[in-house]
Amino acid sequence: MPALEIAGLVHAYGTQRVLEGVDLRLQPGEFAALIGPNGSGKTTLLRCLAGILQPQQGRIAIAGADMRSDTLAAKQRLGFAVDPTLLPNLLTGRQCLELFAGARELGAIPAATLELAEALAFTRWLDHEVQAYSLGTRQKLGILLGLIGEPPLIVLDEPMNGLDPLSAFALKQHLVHLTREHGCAVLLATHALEVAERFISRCVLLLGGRLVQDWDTPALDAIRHDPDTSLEQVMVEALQRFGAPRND
Amino acid sequence: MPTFAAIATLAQMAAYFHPRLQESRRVAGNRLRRLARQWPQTVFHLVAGGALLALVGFGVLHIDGDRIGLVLRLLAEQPLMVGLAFAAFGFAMCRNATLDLLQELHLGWWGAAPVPPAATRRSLHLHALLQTALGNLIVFLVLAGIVALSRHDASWFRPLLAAASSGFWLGSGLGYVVVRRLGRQRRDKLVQQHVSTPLVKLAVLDHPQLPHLADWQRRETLRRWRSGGRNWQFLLLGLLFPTGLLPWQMIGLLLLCIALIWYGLALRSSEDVLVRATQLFAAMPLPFPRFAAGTARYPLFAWICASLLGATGLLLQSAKPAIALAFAAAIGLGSLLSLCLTWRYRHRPGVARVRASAEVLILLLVAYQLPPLAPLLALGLAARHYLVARSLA
Repeated sequence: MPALEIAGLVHAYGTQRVLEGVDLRLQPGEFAALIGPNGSGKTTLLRCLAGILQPQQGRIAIAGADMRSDTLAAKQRLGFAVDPTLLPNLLTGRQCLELFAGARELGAIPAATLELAEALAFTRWLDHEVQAYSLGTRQKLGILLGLIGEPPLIVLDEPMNGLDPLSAFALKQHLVHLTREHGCAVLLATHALEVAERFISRCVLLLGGRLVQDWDTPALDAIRHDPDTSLEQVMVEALQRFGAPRND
Repeated sequence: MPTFAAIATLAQMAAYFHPRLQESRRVAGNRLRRLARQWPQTVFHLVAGGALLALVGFGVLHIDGDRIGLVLRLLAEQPLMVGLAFAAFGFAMCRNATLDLLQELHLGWWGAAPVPPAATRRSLHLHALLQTALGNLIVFLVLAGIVALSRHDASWFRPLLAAASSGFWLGSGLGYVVVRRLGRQRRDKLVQQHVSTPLVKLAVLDHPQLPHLADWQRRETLRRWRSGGRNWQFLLLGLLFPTGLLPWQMIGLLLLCIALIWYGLALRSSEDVLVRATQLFAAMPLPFPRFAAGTARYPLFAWICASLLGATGLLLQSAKPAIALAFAAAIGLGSLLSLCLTWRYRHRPGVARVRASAEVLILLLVAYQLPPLAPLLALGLAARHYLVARSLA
């Protein structure tokens, strides 16, 4: 059963269509990067598959659970990193984690989450209120909230923003561990191609609301082993080939 | 450190209500702990609040309760109108509050969390129920307070309370049903977009060094106005509009009410934009007087418009010109005080609102006892707040 199945997804804000029939299937254990220029629809796609936005057309299934007809089961199988700007200022990091653990019907904050908190150097911030956090610390909490309970599908939107190099490395190692040891699928929207390149097993390019290119593991390996090219260069060439407009 | 039992309770509660309730409980606990940690400040606020309350109590004891009671008795003779007015109020209150909560639950940090729809529904029920009960309790306490002040007849109390309460609960229930229907529609419809482009450009309002700041305030006002932010006040006005007036008196009263409702919205929007502009310009080398001048232009323009409209309305109702002038001066002084407080507490807008309410209340009491002193006191307070705001820059 695929960890994520998206078929014919269409979403528009008013009259402006942002997603134009997106199809995507992720298998358990896949670590996929979602790339694309600003305004290509990455965040909208992620918010649709997290059940925050409701698409006009199409189907989303998370580990077999349909997001429209069985929202609760779908969300139980999904971990979505919380936007740092939406975190509640007056709660401590530990209280936020306890609330999310409660919502996932876990008895307590899982040991794996606390271990990741330690690896991200977040432990000393656990009992401070969110309002005292820096941008990077908020980002860490948002990621921890998304990963709590290690659900079959993990979705992260620009998770490396604001993270120091050590924390970014620890997070990537943890995500790789989740995909390889626990069979979780990870979908990561990012602009940091040099960061994604070494860890991902698949990469998809979203342009003008459509997935226009899909690099599988052999294709990525070929890019990695060619000293004269990089994922960044390949993406730029693909953008030029598809005539990408600049929306930023 | 939370115990395992506490976390287990959390998990059980999550099955019945949305975890947003737990969040509110924990936020309240954190606030109380912070108040205890900062105890000297807390004691000062308690003492100052107590003194203010004593002053208000002193003023309230001098209010002629019999006269208010007489007005309420006349109102009690119109139970349908009272019921409808409170229904409008209950509808607006419950609709807006439930919509805000629904938006937060669906689009905020809980948006992707696996919360059973039944738990969300129960939480919305509970929120609407508690809010309506609290609103009804406040109505009851206000009326009971007037009974306590009335030394004679209080026969109006029960019929008025019954009419107000039944209208309030009916309106609130209707507001809740409307939001629940909206919630069943597409989620992005919960966030209503309204065009904020003004019909006429007013470049003259722009500050030379801070262009478009006044336009930002104006657009925010327009957005709120067009999204029906004050519709409930118009509904209330429509229900309470007196009959038997001559046509020009009716037009005059209408102009006065529109001026007040619109100006209230314009001032509030301008102050909210002022707070957001403070955050935006936080790292800019911007002298406070320039910022103040830039953010005062639109409220000043709005005050001139509201004064002209309101004064015309008063004159049409055969009021003396002096009354029209006093009206303009009163709303001018009140909004000057509010604006100066927002400048002073631009990093803590909540404090500005509470303090503005308290100071306006004191000014009203002073105006009731010693009318000539009130404008001087208002100007003095505004100047003091401005100087403090300037020193913070």
